[in-house]
Amino acid sequence: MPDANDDDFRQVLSREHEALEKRRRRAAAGLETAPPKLRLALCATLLDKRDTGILLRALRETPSCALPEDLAHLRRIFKTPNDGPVKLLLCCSENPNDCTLPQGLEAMRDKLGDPEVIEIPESTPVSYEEARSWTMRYWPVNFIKSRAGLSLKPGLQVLDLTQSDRVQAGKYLRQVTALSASHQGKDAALIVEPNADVVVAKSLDTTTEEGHPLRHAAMNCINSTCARILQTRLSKQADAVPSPASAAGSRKRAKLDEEKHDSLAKETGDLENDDFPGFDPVNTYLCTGLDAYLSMEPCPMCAMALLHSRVRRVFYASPNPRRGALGSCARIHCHEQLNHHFQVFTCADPKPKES
Amino acid sequence: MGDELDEKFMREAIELSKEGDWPYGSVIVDGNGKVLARAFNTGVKDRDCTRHAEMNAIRIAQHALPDDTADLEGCTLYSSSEPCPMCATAIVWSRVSRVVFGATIKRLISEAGQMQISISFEEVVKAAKPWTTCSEFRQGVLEDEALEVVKEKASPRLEEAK
Ligand SMILES: [Zn+2]
Ligand SMILES: [Zn+2]
Repeated sequence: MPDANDDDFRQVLSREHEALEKRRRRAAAGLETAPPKLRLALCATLLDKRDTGILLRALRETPSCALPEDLAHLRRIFKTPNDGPVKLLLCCSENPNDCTLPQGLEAMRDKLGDPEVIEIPESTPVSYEEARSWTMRYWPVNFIKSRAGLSLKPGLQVLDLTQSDRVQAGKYLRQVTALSASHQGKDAALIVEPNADVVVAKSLDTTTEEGHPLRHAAMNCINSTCARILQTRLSKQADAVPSPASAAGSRKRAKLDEEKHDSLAKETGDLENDDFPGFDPVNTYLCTGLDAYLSMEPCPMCAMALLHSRVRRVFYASPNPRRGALGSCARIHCHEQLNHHFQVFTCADPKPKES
Repeated sequence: MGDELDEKFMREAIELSKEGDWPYGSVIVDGNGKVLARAFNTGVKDRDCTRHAEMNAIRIAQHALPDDTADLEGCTLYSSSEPCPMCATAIVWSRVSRVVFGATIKRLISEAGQMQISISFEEVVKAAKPWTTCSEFRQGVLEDEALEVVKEKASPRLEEAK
């Protein structure tokens, strides 16, 4: 699939995180970003540039000149352009009319010009580009990478899909969209083992046929993946047990489960019953390591079921503005207190492609 | 339905929670006080993370309805613990009218060490306002008793999982 890489996937992040990423991308592209939040501070011109070292030390040693932790991006020294005067950031200020020298700095009085109140960026810059633009406009700031993001759990961070991830995701997203289209637009879902590159379960929404309001496509797909895992485990156990009596028992149990599975398959709109080479149900805990592909953004029930199932990633084709819980109405996967996180991607318009 | 009946069915749900793979139980009762479903968590046995007590109960109740309409309007769902967002949404989709639960998510997390997403039942139902027929819920019914079962049954399992 040579041209599959033009599918553009967007990761669904928390609103706060999304705004930050947007700002980062704009800044990196040299575009205007929203102005920083500003706060008042006191600065003064150094009368003799050779006193810079002495003054910096005095500022460090004067408690009333300490800058709070969240202003660590601000530089103390402002070398004005064209070899102009050097200005020093003395301390934060609360009162725009108060220009008195900070307490404890009196000994430096004769080395400084009259203090003046200025506005400095209180926000932390998210990129070099943003830091440079604020430096030119307000006061010199540093870009500190470790402070530029939100402190997030690993599962909530931005994940850059590799080229082969994109090719695979494009392929299955088109497959699930086509599946939906060929069944009167009913929601469809796939669960995929990404390393072996195989579909483990394929389901449709079966709510209308059976009148069962919980039989959403994603729900069905999780159920049939879990049933498949259980079934294979039981039949493997039956094969492994040496004692004929207990083996027969296990086989009977496996058989019963097979029947149960068949009826479940009917309920879940299971479309295939193949063996899946490369998928190892025996060593799979729920849907760990598997990816889910959905034709439509899941409702909160399905989104939570996906979380409970511990899938690795969720891809969906169309957003669901009325009920969607992974981007539209809620972003359940961004909840800080979850014990499992998956990344969510959407591709609003998966291009129909041949090949 | 009166407090006395609520306690009776809640006690049943708590009894059922002792049977669960995870200590949760649920009972669904129709408008005439007839029990449609009794269920507990079968997540481990079925190796299926969606087999929460409430989900199992909803499925059983739907099959128990005479015309298989799957519409649980008029029914009350009892759960030994506050439904997680998955079950809460399932309750909305299946049109259950009333929900009564024991241990709250807050106390499950703080006192029984359960890994629960801290989204309350109330939040989910509020968000589902346009579609929900769930018009009433009671929480904290026999809460201490329900919590006691969770503490007793879940702690050894949590130790195991470590
Ligand atoms: Zn759903
Ligand atoms: Zn639940």
